[in-house]
Amino acid sequence: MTNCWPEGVLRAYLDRELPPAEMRAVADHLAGCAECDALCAELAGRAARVFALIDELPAAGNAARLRPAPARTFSRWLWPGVAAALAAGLAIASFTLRRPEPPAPLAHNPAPVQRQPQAPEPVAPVAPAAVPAVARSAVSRVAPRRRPAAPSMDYFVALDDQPIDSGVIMRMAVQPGGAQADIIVDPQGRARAIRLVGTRQ
Amino acid sequence: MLTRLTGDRAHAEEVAADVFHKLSRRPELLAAQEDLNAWVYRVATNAGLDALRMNARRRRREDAAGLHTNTASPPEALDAILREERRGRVRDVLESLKPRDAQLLLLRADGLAYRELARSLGVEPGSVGTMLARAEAEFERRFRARYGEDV
Repeated sequence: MTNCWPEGVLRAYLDRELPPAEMRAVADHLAGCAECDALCAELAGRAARVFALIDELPAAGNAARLRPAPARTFSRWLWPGVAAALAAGLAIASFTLRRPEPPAPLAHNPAPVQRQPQAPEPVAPVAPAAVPAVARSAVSRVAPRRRPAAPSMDYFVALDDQPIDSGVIMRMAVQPGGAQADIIVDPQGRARAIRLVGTRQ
Repeated sequence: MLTRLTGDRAHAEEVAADVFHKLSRRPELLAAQEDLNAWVYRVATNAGLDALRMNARRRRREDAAGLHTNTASPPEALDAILREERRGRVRDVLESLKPRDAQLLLLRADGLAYRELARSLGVEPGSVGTMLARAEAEFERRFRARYGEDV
């Protein structure tokens, strides 16, 4: 019994939480020590009984562990939203840039020097090639402002274990001048997931 | 894990919201993901055990007032009563343990490895086995003391 392992090591051995060399050493010892072998069996039986009882407590579906939430959980509403926002942006940009200049005086001034510069202007934005060009330039101007300068952690931490079908991402300041967090709030107003922003170097 | 502890999903969500509200006041935790996870687990289990104690007090008052009824059909009702009684016993014993022992058992039941347990509870990884063995022994001893040999 002089070289026997303490109870805590035997308990860790049962959970395979020892380094490989120590696992082998404990296994070798148990093969030759009836006393430690009996203690190990007692610890294993007690652990099984205790966790069988605790496992009777109902979990809400699968146990919710702190882990990166899969991106697909909210892609169902995210991508249509992005597409709709992009379409709206394109429409506004094309409408704004298509607005004609104020009309010049018409028949009162028939001189050709004034008519010639005005003629192409209403026609040019209607040309099919002009709209994508305008849209691209409008998007490229907007995009840098929409993306935060600070790097963010690229995953959310689920606050429960239910899939998130839809929701709104709200950004809140954690401390003035400090880190921020994005929170997904579902249609019932409950916070479903959190993502820390600006914490990674 | 909070749902298992409180037995009420809505209540568990409230407790989780409180935990993240506390987190919002600890910006230094946001810098390190592992410290953050450990902090959340520790504070969440503490808050869950507090909620469990409050639930137990409320339950005793409601039992005394005869507020609990079961509307299921007789065989199902009997099963439900027995099941809920066992769950209530488990929660009672967990509530009676030292908070760290209860936290250890709950987090281990939730699947945390020894390294994660050590970080969550602020102890050395090498002492987790000893603490776990003692917590299990204490849980079993108290369960038997309260409810007989039926563990």
